[in-house]
Amino acid sequence: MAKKATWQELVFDPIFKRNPIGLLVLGICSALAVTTRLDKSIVMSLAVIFVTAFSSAGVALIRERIPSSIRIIIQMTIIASLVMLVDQFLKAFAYGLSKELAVFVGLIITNCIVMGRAEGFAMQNGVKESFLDGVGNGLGYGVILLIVGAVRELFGSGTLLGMTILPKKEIIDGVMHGWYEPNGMMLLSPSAFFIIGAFIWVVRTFYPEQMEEA
Amino acid sequence: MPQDNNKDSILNTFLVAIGVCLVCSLMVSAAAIGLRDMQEKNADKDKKKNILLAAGFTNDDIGDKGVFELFDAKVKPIIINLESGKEEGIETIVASDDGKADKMKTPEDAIAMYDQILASQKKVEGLYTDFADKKEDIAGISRKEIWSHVYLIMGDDGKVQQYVFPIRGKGLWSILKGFLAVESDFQTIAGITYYEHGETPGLGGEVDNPTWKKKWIGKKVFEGNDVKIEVIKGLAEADDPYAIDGLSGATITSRGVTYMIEYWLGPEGFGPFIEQRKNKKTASTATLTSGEG
Repeated sequence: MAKKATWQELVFDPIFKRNPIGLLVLGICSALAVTTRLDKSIVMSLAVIFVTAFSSAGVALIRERIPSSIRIIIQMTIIASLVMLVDQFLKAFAYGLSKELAVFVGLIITNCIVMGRAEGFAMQNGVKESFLDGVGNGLGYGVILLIVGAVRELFGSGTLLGMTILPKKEIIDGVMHGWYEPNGMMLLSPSAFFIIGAFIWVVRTFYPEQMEEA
Repeated sequence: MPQDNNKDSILNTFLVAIGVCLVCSLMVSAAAIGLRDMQEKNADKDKKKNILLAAGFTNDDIGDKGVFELFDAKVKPIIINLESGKEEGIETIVASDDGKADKMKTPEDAIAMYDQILASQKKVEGLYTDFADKKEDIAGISRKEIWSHVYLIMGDDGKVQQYVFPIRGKGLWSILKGFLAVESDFQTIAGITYYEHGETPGLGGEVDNPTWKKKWIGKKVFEGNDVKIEVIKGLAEADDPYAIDGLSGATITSRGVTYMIEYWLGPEGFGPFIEQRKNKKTASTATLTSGEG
């Protein structure tokens, strides 16, 4: 590293300039699965931010002592414990959502972003920098989740956070209500691919250096 | 650096591994214990909510009043002996020890706190039996409890409108746990819900799908004394009262749903209870028509 990154760079660069999903295309699977509704996306983003931030900080804290032969296992242990912690808290404070997110909370453990930051950044940097880097990368993931979640809920169900924005076309007691025909494809996983694709396109138009050689 | 050499020593490897595991496990278990009460209350609330949803109350109804209030106002839980179909033998449950911290002291406690799934899974002494023949276990639940809850949905006139039966059975990956609500004719289905399962999201997990659950309402259960309702493969004929659309990509889950309903409404499950209630009903209508009532 040529010069030390400032905290703004650590936190805000991963959002657009080095977005883990946009540039590295990591952590796609959960981005497809949990984004059918905005509230699910928000909770998932918070969970991932928490896990990346504290796992990076935790790994950075003991990085001088971790034997290289078992470093991956140590990182996994820390990440897995944090994920279980998140799962327990969700079950206590947001039971309905935790049931809907179900297995995907557990699958944060296998989210490449978390592991990638622990191995790629936290092993070489201090606690504070690693924590901020974790927050930034979690935010980068979260921003995509929020965008995809908002688009999918709005066009798939005509609502945002459960509130009706586009009144759905339906017949109640023989009278036609609303006008919006929900786009069922938005509720299926492939639609998230299109939206992430569009996001990457927009970001790379602003940051041409992200484009790969054809 | 000298530190680097000793970092990779076997001793240090062990120390770091043990230290990290110790700290992490302490953290996780502290959270699990500290939050257990809240989680249990949530689970109880969720179960009651699902009973109400199976009985046809909507999320709006529940939102207005709150789950516990609406449940207490509309639902009367009872415990029956599955074999005889009668409300009897609750004392055995009160006296039993299911290993929970708070003990049941009265029959009312038992009705509120008895957990039949726990009784069969944890093999609580005196509350379960094994299947004599494994072939009887079509729902795949391994052991059967002797007593079960039945939730009576009371109308404003004081009569029972619906019966909500707890059902469970094996799908592809997990035991699905849910409720089936039947109208008081014991023939028409009023609703079905699942509050816990581990099926694949998007495939077997579609048992949660509201559109699919709506297809159950108004379907018929029995033909003669046999449970005939079935989740079929593909689309059901609109006028077939015994067929439900299959879940695509989830043949085994669909089959599991069929079997668990066949089991729980059959002679091993609530069959004797249904028989009793039906007889009681015909008896009371008979007395009414003959003018002796």
